[in-house]
Amino acid sequence: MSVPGPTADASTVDGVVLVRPAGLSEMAGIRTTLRYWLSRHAISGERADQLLVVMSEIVTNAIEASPPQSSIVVSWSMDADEVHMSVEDPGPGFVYEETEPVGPAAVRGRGLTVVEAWTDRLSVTRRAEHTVVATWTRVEGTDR
Amino acid sequence: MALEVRAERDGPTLHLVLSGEFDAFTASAVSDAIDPALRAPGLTGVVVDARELSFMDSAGISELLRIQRLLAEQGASIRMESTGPTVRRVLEITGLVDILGVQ
Repeated sequence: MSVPGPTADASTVDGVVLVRPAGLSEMAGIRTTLRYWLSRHAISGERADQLLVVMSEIVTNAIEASPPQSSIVVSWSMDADEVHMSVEDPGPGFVYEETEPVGPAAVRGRGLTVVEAWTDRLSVTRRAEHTVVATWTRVEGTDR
Repeated sequence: MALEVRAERDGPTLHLVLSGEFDAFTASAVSDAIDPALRAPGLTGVVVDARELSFMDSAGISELLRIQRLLAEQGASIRMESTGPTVRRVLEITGLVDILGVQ
């Protein structure tokens, strides 16, 4: 995994992490890097925690949807008062919009519920050989 | 941060203390640690102390639900104590406060 460390530059640049090969063991490192970036943008507390959960959900889905030994690209940026996070993977994509409603008997499948609750917009884009899941979340007032 | 799992049997109750980050990578640490204890005779409940749980996503929820199902099959129950605000919100959003016995 290529993770930008918590350097001075990380406070101003957008985050881009290439995870190669894509593995769940990289999740904690991605969250650590994102948390640092959020703190440099004065986003902390519960809002930061929520964004970390959202990122964890979309990265987990990307890794689980990707072929073995493939790579994913994780990125985040700030545009005005909005945090944009996205994950691109070479798999067929986690089929958010095709997911059946999650009933009380389901053990899995609750990630989308969390992502939708803590973001303002969610998009899933399928192209020829990869899928991009992107979220946008406004941060303002007491978030910062 | 990894996930630290401590399990201790006290009479009919299994106390499970979780510290760290509970995600798709670390979830197996929980099943590895407690699955044998879940099948032990005389168990009537699991109490989860989550005060040191700094992170949990839906993969953690799935593992807790798996435990809840195993317990329900043998007439036992699960109760979660001392959750932090974000962990509690994840459980509220997903409608699992009652099913997982969140205090």
